[in-house]
Amino acid sequence: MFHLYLPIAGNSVNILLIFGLGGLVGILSGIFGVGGGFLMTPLLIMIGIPPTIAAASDSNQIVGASTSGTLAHYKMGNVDFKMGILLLIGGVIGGTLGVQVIKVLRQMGNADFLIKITYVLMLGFVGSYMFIESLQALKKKETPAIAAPQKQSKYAKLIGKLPWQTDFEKSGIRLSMLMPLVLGTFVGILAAIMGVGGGFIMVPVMVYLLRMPMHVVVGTSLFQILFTCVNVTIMQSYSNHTVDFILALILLLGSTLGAQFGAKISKKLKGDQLKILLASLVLIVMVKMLLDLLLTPHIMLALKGGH
Amino acid sequence: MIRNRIWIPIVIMIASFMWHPQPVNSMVSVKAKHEPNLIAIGTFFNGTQLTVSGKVTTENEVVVIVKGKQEELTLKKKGKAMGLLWMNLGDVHFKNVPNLYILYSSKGMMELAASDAKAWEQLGIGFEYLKKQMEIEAVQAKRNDLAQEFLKLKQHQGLYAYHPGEISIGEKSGTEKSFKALVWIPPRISLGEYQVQVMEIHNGMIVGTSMDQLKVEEQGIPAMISSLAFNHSLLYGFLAVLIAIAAGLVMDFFFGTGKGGGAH
Repeated sequence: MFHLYLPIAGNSVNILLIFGLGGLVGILSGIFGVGGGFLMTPLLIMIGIPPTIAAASDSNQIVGASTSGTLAHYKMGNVDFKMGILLLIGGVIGGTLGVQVIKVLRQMGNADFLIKITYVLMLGFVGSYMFIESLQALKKKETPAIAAPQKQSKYAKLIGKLPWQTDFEKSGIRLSMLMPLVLGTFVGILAAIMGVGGGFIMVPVMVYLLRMPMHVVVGTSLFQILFTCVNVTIMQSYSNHTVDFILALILLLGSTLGAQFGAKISKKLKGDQLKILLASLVLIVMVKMLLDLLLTPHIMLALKGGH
Repeated sequence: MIRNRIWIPIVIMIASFMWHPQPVNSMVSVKAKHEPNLIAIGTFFNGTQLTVSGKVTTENEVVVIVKGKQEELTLKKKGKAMGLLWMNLGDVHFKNVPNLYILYSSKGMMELAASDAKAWEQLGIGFEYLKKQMEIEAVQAKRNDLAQEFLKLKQHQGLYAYHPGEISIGEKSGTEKSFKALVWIPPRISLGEYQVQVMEIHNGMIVGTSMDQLKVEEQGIPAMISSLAFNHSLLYGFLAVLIAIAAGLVMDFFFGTGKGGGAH
């Protein structure tokens, strides 16, 4: 009952379970502007999908969810296309560099160790910073405007001196074009090393380093993720045959629906509430990864691939 | 003369190595059949049952093995880094391992296994035998531990299984009795050819055997998708993306219109 055979994954799955997983991740994607690969891939592996196929099919699914999410946010005026395209160009450059970095790391050995540690530290740092910062902002609602600029004035002066200053109307900021390009490259490198889409690093980068308003961050992040995942899906289908379209399609039905609800929930929440929720999610994933590293595994061997 | 005599024990030793304990000449062909001969993987395939039945001599035991072709497999070994953190530490290559190994036995075989574990190995069946057969290439790890973990992983995937005492014995007629095994074929089975082997066992020795083929094929939608994914992979990739985008647009059309308007 309710089972469907997945030809590429070579296993059968429960349709309702996959649909539910898709819906859950779609909601998160719509609220926070993240792809959700960091959550979905381990869940798929847990129900018996081979790691490489779980990761590739998930990116196919994210194409659908981020199309749906980007459109929903676009209608709310939350997508900064200019910023998104610049970040995307940086991301492509960074991704290409990151793949080379990974190759060097593999040759040196211990790549897995480095990747896992980077992951945990990154999530821990980003999660804690966002959590504390937004908690303080929520507590002192009257005074954030006074405290913030004083602290960040040095950084603001520095980026004000960079060449090619331009207006980003949707975000309501004026910045050098170099900023999104360089930061996009940086996130692209990290994402390639960690084997994820990078939404989780991109969102805090946009909030804290590019100073974009939280709601525009979510829409713009989704817009960028859409293109990244289109690229990954085609590349994986072509060179590794790891995209299971049936799996992706069921996930899609759940996630596109979820993304619409997510975007509406996102609209109802305030920027700081969004930040604190995302920070909690990042911290939960961090703790889960840390536990995986600390607890004795049930089986001492594992299939290759995945995050 | 003395030099000639030295050869005698050596010749005996070599001869004893070459001699095989299985009484090959007295082996009979077991009357057995399996149903179906072809497993078709369709859209709703979720594993299936294979019925293996036949007749053996009344006092003998039966073993049914469904076995896939030998393969090579590279897995990641988990270990402690810095004495604290569990993670993948290098690759382990397994060679000469079947991709499927499912064993059913009649009740009497359980007693044999309980009283004499070695007997199984000598028969050339069972997990202990697989452990002996597999070749493992790994850096600094105990062979036996790795073999054990390999069996654990395969059993967890449902691709290796042992069902002791799960062959039902039917009515006796003359010197023969009928047997029937309902073999569970897991959904994770790969496409290809498999061997269905039936063994008749008497006093810990194989006295009869039969071997037959089982084919596993994809049909219908799964076959179509596989063919597209492997033979026209670029087209498949583009289609996967286009359909995903279309699904996103359709969802937006049904659920997203009207309510979104207005900038933040």
